[in-house]
Amino acid sequence: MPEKEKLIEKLEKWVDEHPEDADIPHINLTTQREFTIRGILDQMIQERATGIAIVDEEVLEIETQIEKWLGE
Amino acid sequence: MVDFLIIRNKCDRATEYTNWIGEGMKEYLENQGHTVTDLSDADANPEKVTEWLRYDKEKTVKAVIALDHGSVDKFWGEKNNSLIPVIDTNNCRTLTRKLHVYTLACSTNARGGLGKIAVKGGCFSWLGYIEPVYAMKSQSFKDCIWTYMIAMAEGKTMEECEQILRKAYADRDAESFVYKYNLERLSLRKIEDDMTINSHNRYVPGTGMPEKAKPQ
Repeated sequence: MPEKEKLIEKLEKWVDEHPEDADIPHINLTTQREFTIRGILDQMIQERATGIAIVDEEVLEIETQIEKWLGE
Repeated sequence: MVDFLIIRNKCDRATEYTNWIGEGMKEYLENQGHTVTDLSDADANPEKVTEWLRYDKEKTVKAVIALDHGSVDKFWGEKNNSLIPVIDTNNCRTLTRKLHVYTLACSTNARGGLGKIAVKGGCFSWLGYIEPVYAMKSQSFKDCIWTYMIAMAEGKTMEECEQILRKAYADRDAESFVYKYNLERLSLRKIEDDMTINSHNRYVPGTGMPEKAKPQ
């Protein structure tokens, strides 16, 4: 299974188990980019469905951090 | 003269988060018997911050709680609704000497950065982050950030305050990646061990007398 698919699977499980936490607004205090973890998951699902790769470096960095977090 | 100075501007999206985290701190600290000045929003300007922090004025005596933008060499406030540095590597020796500083801000404790220079210049302790960090609009995140401030106010040592904050981050690991991320970037710089805001502040320890009034 590709790494991204594994991450989507893990994140979907986390969102199901933490629906309220998934909708909490987050912000990077330097870039001021706002997001929710559910929003990041939605983008990954959309990427899988459309085949159009996420190129936003900040979203990719968040994905990396989520992967490190859920990987433990 | 106050024990604590809170600095929390509010002029962009990020500082809407950090300003909110500081809501209620003044009242909490006052209920614990401390005196507090809260420089919020437009009050977090260079003139007021300087006025309240200058070592020779002794208007702030124990600690600074700084919830705002940060960078390697600056801590930011606001003026005319725009960001402006209020503590930097040029003025930190004067403004943070003999104080404890607790920040929720990006990068102020980076290698060779503001926190290190401040502590080298006589600031007792500086809790900050070595890189950019995240904030969240949740009560749990707010409670986490408050733990260090509460521990300081209770007279715990800076090492204990740091461990309490680290535990608060670790205990919330299941709630968001942000807790692990910020925790890994947290750093406490200090001039010595076992200090509290009561044992080390701008008063002479044990006398409660301002240093400038100390008999020569």
